Amino acid sequence: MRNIGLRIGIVIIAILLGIYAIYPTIRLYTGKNLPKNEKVALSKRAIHLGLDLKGGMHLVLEIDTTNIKETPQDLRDRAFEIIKNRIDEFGVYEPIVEKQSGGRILVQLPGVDRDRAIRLIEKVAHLEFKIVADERVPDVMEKIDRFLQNEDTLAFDEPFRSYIISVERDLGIDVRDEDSVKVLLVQAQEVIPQDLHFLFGPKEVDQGREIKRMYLLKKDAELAGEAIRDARHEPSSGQDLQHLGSWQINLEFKREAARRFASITGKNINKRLAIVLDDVVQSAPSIQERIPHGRARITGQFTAEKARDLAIMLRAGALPAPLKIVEERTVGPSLGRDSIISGIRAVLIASALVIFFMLIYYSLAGFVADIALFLNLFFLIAVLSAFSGSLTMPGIAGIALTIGMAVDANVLIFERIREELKIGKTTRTAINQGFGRAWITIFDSNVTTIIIGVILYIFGSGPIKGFALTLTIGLVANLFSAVFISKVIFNYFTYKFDIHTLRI
Amino acid sequence: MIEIIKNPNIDFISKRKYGFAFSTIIIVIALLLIFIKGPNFGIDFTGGALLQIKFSNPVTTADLRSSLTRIGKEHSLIQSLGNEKKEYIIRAAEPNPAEFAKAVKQILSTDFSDNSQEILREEIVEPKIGKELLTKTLWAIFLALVLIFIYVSFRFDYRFGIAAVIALFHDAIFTIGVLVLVQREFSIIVVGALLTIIGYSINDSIVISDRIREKFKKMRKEPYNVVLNTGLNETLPRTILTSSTTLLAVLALLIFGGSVLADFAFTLLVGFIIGTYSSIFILANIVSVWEERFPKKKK
Repeated sequence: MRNIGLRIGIVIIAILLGIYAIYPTIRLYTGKNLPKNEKVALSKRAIHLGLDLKGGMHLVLEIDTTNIKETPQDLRDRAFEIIKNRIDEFGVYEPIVEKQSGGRILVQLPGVDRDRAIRLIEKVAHLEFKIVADERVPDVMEKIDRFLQNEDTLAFDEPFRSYIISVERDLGIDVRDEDSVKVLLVQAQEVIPQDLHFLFGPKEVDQGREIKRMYLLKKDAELAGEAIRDARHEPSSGQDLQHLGSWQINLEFKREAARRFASITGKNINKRLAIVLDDVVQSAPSIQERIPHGRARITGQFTAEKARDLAIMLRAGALPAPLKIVEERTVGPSLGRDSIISGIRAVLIASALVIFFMLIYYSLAGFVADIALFLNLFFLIAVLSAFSGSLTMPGIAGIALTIGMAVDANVLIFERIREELKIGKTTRTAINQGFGRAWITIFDSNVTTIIIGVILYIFGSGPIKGFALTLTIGLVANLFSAVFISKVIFNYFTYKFDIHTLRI
Repeated sequence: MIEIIKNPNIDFISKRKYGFAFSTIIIVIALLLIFIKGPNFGIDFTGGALLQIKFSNPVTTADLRSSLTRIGKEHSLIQSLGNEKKEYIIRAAEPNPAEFAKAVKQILSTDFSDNSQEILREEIVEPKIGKELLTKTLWAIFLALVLIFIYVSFRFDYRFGIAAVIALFHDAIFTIGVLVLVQREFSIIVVGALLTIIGYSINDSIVISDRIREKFKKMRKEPYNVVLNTGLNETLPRTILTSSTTLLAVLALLIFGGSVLADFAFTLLVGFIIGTYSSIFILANIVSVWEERFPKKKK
């Protein structure tokens, strides 16, 4: 047979690639006690479960732009930074915050406490400026450690300070220690001076690990976000060699606030002024001189992107428009679990029924169709893993449907082969002509269903996309497994064993 | 070798008036239902709220209704899930869905304070979003029909293209009619199912049209209707087999797939059955009537 070796080679390579693509998914969902960094790495190459399966919230937020002069785009960008900042703080695994057309924001949070999440999102943004009390850090830390050791005599030396690392000129903690550190801070609350508190920065990566900077701040804010008139980012001006190629933020205060700002900066030269958004310290530039006219400049090693984000946050301080939740879909974790179980059960039962049916009706050829069906599902899952696509409940329905429709190709081929055998063709000719004649029909019918799949994917919202995805991938894989692979199997066995009668 | 029908030779074309009569009746009934009773639009399209709640002890629909009446929301739809009388869906089209959901949760936790509740699912769609989804969905269906028409006309005769699209409308209208009859919720996922039905029905039409096209080349001397009949009969085993495997899969989904997919699977079941019927009894028959009224010039 022509090229049989080559074709077998293609099939084997495809199966190996499939195994390679599926492995992360299998490891992620069946491996027990995987270390967190391995989980993160695996999840980038594995199938994601949709919110309807793992439980979680899908929210679409809209900014109420009535009575607002600003462009919706700018407002949306500011709201986006605020929401992102808060969601990061919320500490859920793999949240999604995305800008959508029409000035909307999409938020997807897996498995969270619904009411708490909504409170957090609907909260009015709160931007403040606070003085950093760097000079009091050693004293406060000493007090905390002494207190903790007194409380618990078994504690090792410096129970608090042992968690602290240094990040450039700031204090920091490893993100993994965050909860422990926060608990210690609550325990030791009574020894932390009344006028001070610790706040953290956003999550960042420093020397290969995830950290947060930690700041000791004066509790009372010097200025609130409403004081800002405008904030823009621009490339740093030339004379400053140190900041060459980096970006800066130009800050402008409102008139009354400008006087306050002048006095604050005057009193706190060489101290740092922290910019705090919703209790997260975004930046803490040093005050180099008294700033008289309400025009300040924040310099540092900012990239364009970071400077832009910071400028947006500064402007966001007084977000003039409230955010409204225009669409919410929340699935509780127990329904998600039930859905997975019933979905998998439906797929397994559908497979069993179809496999049995084909075996009875076409005997040995039915067995080949069943192998093709199995490979069809295998490639479907492999492709989904390779693109780390997400599997939703309708997606599972798409898989079940693929099982039902996938054998159509084999039915078409087998019926053709039967017809050819009836008019007296030899087995080999019947097989070749059966495949040849059926191919064009299979192609036509799959193309139309793929058209539907693509339309559903483009127009469909949320979970429907998952259905479109599995159905489309399933049908494309179908062309390969039901036609190409099953033909290789037929050709190989009829030639190898010189078969002249076919049970079909 | 097992064969469903040995060498089928059914004269579909001469019996076409029965097919047309049956289809006309069911389509008229479906249209009456759609226009008089109207689809039970879900909150995806009307805007509103949906709560799926699980109680720890059984409650009755009447109890729930009386609680909802106390907050002036007696018009809400209450649907019981499963046989245990513990799980319910409460759903209403509301101009202010977020407040509605809040009020319902509050009144239930007061009225059933000794019967703890778990919110399994909560969906809130502002009416504005519902309108957008509806527009988007209509566009999707329209686009699907147009693309399929273009593809089929391009691959086959335009007569088959038009006949196939008529069959699609036939299937979609009938399925929507059944959904209205049993008052299933007409949600975005049901529209997904309708589009899938369109895709499936066109599959059958293509397989049959393909075979008829092939027969036209081989049986040049035979009358038009004989060729159509041969094509239909030769593909009949395949049509029945494929429908069977697909229906098996959909039934598994309907019976074992859980509450979330029930409407979806039900819609597919109805649509696939009617789709199979229409591809056998409608498609070729439309082409045959067309040929009789306006014969194609022989080349």
